[in-house]
Amino acid sequence: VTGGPRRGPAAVAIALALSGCAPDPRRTIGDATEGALSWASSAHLAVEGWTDRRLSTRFTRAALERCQRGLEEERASLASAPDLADARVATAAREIAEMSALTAARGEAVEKEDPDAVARSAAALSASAARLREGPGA
Amino acid sequence: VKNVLKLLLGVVTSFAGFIEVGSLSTSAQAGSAFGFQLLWAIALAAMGVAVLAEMAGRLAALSRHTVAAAIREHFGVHFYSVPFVAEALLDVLVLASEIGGIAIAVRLLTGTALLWWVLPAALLVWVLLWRGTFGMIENGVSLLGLVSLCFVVAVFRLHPHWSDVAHGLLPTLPTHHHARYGFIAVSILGATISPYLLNFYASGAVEEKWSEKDLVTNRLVSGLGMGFGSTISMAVLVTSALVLRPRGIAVESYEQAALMLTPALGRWGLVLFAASLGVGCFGAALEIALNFAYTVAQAAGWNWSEDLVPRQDARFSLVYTVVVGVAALVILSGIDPLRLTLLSMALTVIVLPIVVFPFLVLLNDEAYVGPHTNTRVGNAVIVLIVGAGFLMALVVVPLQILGGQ
Repeated sequence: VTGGPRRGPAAVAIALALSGCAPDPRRTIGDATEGALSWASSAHLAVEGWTDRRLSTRFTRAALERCQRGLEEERASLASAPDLADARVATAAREIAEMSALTAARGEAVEKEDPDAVARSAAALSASAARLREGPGA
Repeated sequence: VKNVLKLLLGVVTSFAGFIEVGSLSTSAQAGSAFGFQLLWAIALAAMGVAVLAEMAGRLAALSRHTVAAAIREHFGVHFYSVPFVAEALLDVLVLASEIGGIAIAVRLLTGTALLWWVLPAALLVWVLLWRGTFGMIENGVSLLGLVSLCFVVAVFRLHPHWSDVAHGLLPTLPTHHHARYGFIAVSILGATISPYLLNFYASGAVEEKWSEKDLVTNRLVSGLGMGFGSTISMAVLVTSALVLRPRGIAVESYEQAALMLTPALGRWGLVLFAASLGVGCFGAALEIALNFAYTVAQAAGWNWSEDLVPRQDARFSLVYTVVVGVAALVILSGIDPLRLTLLSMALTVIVLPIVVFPFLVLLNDEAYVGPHTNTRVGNAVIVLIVGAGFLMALVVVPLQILGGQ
């Protein structure tokens, strides 16, 4: 996870031009995996606070939207990687896309104040996160 | 009794005003990414800013000059234009970050879009500058910053292993993400040792007509105030390390950082986080806008004082009006406030030698500070901290931008 100025496509291109070589797919996947798992954990913590009534529905919804956006950014960073043809990169991108969709569903469940739907999407997101953790970048 | 109260107020305002958008975000990121491992950076930065603040106060008390005015007088207008431009640009970026921080605090509580709150936040800053006095800004707003003590409370409620915390005060290298570790360390230095603090502190001393008899007060206010203030930054880092890191959360947004107080403080956690961020950023925004106006007025030789009504120092008032507007526009352009903050903090460290080294020359000149010139130790501490930070920034800032690990 970066958190400082993030690598935009331009920065990646400059880095490639300077280094004169293609990026290691393992590192590309590793960075995106770490970032995606961080967003997924944040979504879990936010929903945990909402379930315990320590966080408002409004904040939790906003936090989940931000997590979903973060997951989309990670997916986009993989999609713009020149080595997308690598099967491992494509698998990781698909898994992160699924996590993004599940986080969006979780946000909608929170909005409707439906704890059962929140729990269901939580289980699915945990499973997806586990697959990503043990998957292509492991 | 009056002197003791004055001293206490000075310490408490320095201490309570320590937390703002830079210190909060860099500490939260440091704790979430590297646990307690970057505590040493906060301790080092606190030592640097305490020593520099003491020097700025001493210069003002003995020479009745602010830092900007003294550098301009000693080195000439042409030389001064370099640190002036560097500091002015940084002030705009950091002010934009602080205004963004106020808007984010409101967004965290209301769930509404950030951009709705940028102009009201900027307007609030401007109104207080226009209508307020230096004392109101320095004491009133800073005292509100005591809310950030909630991070210290959170640390005690989370029961850390104190030996692990203490271990973080010794610099160690991480096992991974070296460039990122260096970038955050540099950002912590930049968040704490801000050039604006020096001139603001000295301008405050001139506004309050400090003299040689205030040297002891100056030493205590700078040392204790900054020292205690750094404990709040450390508490943010420790809370983040205890709550976010074990869950694998690396802070990249304020929504993530805002989650850190909830396990320790329950439903008050989010409110207190937002209040700490909002009040801290509001206080810092006032200080930076005021410092920008001080710096320009002192460079141009205009009337300047926050205690004068605007018509008595119209150009001074115009300057803070314009800079608050420009900073609001920077945030309204859609730039991410957290990324802007981190970049501004790292750039601060690159600019720091340009501002600090001429200042050190003055503190070694008897024409300005009489027999109270710097000791060799004082000079060495600043040269080492600022020089090492600068060299580190030259390496890690490009590396981080280019995606190094």
